[in-house]
Amino acid sequence: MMPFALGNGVFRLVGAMILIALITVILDRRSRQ
Amino acid sequence: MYGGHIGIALAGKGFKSTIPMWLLVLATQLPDWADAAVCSAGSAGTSEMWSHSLPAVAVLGLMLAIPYFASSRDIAAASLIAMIVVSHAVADYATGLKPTWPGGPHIGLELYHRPMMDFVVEGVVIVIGWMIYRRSLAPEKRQTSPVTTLLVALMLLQLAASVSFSLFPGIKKC
Repeated sequence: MMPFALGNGVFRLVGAMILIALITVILDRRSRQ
Repeated sequence: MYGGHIGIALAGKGFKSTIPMWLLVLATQLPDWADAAVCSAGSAGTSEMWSHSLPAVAVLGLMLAIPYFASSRDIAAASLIAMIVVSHAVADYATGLKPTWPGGPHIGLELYHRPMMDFVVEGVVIVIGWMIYRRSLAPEKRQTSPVTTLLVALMLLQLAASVSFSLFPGIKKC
């Protein structure tokens, strides 16, 4: 569940945003190779 | 909204494939990054007014669209980037309770209080955005593993987020 359940609110917000952003950008790049 | 914002970024890629994906993701998340910055600066009470109100998202949209237009001279792409930033506030009116403008009402359907409904709504946005996104790919690449994995990963992340809203309600963002 990390980073959805751990840490304070800002930590959770930033962690969740970075996680989904990285996955999206990486998989988009692989989709185009 | 969480994964739904990424669904909107994916749709943007389908409409304008020349825009880098990282920029579309930044555009769709920009109000949340502004919120985190204002929260960290200690202005917890007003962070959403500075990041999610209609004037705030309009300014944030221009802050991203104007430099992009200056470098690309592509007015359609720059306009799309601005619209994706503004879409963040509109989408959050479905899932949360957000400010409109200084002195104005807070509005929203607060789907975060109904995690299953939140998952369904955000899941639909992700699937529609992903279907539009696939148009940006060559036909022979639309069925490949990374494309399918992208949809599955986004749905799983949204499920985790929706479950966390159910298990840990009421945790303040700031």
